[in-house]
Amino acid sequence: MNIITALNRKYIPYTFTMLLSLCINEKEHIDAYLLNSELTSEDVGEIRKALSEYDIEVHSLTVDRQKFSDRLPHNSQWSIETYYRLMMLELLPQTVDRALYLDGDMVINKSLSELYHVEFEGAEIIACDDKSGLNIPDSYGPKHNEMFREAYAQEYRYFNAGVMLLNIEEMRKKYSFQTYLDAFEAWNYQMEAPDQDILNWVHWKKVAYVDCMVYDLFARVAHNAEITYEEVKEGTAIVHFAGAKPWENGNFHFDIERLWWDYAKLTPYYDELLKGFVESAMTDTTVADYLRGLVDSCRQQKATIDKLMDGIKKIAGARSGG
Amino acid sequence: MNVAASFNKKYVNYAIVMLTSFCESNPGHNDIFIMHSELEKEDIDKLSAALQKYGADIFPIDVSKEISNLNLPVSEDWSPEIYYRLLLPDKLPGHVDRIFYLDVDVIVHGSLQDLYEEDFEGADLRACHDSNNTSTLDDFSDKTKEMLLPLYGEEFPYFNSGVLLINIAQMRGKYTFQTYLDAMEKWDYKMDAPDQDILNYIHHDKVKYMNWEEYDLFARMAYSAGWRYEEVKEKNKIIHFAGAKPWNFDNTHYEIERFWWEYAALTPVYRDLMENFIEYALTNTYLEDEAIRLCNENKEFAKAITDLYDALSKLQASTKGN
Repeated sequence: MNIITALNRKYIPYTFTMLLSLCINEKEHIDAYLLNSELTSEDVGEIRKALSEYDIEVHSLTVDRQKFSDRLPHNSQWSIETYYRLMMLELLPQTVDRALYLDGDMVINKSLSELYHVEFEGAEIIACDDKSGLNIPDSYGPKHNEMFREAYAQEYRYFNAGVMLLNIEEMRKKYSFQTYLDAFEAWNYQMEAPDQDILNWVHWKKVAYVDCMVYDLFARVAHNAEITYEEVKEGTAIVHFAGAKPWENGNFHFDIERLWWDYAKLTPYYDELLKGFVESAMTDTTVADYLRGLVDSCRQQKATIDKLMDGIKKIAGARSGG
Repeated sequence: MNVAASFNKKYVNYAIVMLTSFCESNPGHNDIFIMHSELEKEDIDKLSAALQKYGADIFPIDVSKEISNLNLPVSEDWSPEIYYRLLLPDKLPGHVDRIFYLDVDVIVHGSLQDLYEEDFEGADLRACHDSNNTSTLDDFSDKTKEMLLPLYGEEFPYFNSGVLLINIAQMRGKYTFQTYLDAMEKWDYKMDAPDQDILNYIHHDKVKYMNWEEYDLFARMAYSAGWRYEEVKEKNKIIHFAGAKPWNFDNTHYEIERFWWEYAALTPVYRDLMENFIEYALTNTYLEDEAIRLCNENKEFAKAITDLYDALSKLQASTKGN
């Protein structure tokens, strides 16, 4: 089973947690290709050593950072490494005919063998509905809707690029890194979701789907639908912590995140992850600011209500007085 | 120096952090008196092991007999342990002439030696104004005002009982546990902050105040008032995490909780504390519930505003019509 993921040094503990969870649940041999431009040989050695008891071979594929324009939208949420998957056709060994791309912010909770060996039946990419099915066109911005006008007219289902089974053999014949670079140019680097928009735009006619509730469950979407840790543990193969992370404090926490910590606990990075969590709790003011905003908004609206009530009373009073 | 604390089994780890901060900031010999009614040998051993490197002597004082037949008011916020400080004059050995009493949710990050040796000038105890000296009379219950206004007058120098330096030599024999129990009877047991109200009541004219900024800074209130880590480090020696604790998820967190985690990191229970912190994050739904409640309230207010505008414009139109 060929697995591809992309990471920078900061992401090592998180990506490692994903890889470990994959190994624990997989019987097949795994070749893991790490697309990166800053991992040292010590980093890779450490990862290999920590996974040595599993049937996995870790390959570091060095990506030339210079090939990725600074014009590509990136921020603290989307690092430049997000784009590295677009160079996989060039970097993977010729022997690779299919590969499963996995984001680093997930845990693999069951064997992926069945998914991995699905027939492509002409598809270039097999993926899941974005946002675990909450991918109606209206939930995206105007630029997105412009990009996918033609596709949506044909009932296109926008996929999440965090889990992709890639028909490398077919894709090699038709596409290259340049294909995606041309697509960036065509859209003048104005994408809303960096690599994902481009992958959807390039491949939309050749996408097949697997069940997003099994293979790309967005943890927070599941939580909002009142799905519990136990249910996820029982029925989901890939849990995706898209958005705010279990290891940080940019949002409320919830029970499904325990699944991530269950695996994090088994990594050599556990203490570091615990400390990072505490540090983030003390310094990330997102939740406090959000709550304060809500309190302020309540107070302002209450003041408006009082003013309106006064206005009504005044008119009513004047009338009864007159 | 002599220091006393009071806690139950659930609070042993937090007590270890507090006492570590005391010993770390006050090298030299310290005698630590633990007032308790349920601690077992293993709890005391755990505490001793954690503090061994400081050479502190630990003296557990079991008060279960004294409190067994009393029906003292307790609640979720107030465990029976809050009363045990009232037994200090009765239960401390004869050679103890003065002692610090510290709540388990404080951190000592400066030397208390000079303060410890200062003359009491006739006072029974030394304490700080409660709640960073921000309380006004409106903040107190009718019962508290009824009982304490005649003693304190409008100035109302109500003190916090979480950080005390007690003149045991003077109080021994003069005040017994019975003194305080009789006072509770006079209050009809209607105290808001049980031990604290009673200590204020009994010792109102025998308090030598300490500077609250230096010796009993309420952390969250200070943070809200603009205090930051550096300023706390410079001006303060005892920081008090009254209300929501740095180690749980009953509220959002903030940077000056770092004082607590820095000492937690020096204890053998550091990892337990971090793991519990994450456990609380995953299971305590308070913050999310609060956000949902506030969102709903905002929605209701918004609807009320729309309705009131309608009513007002109809009223204005009909008034013009007249």
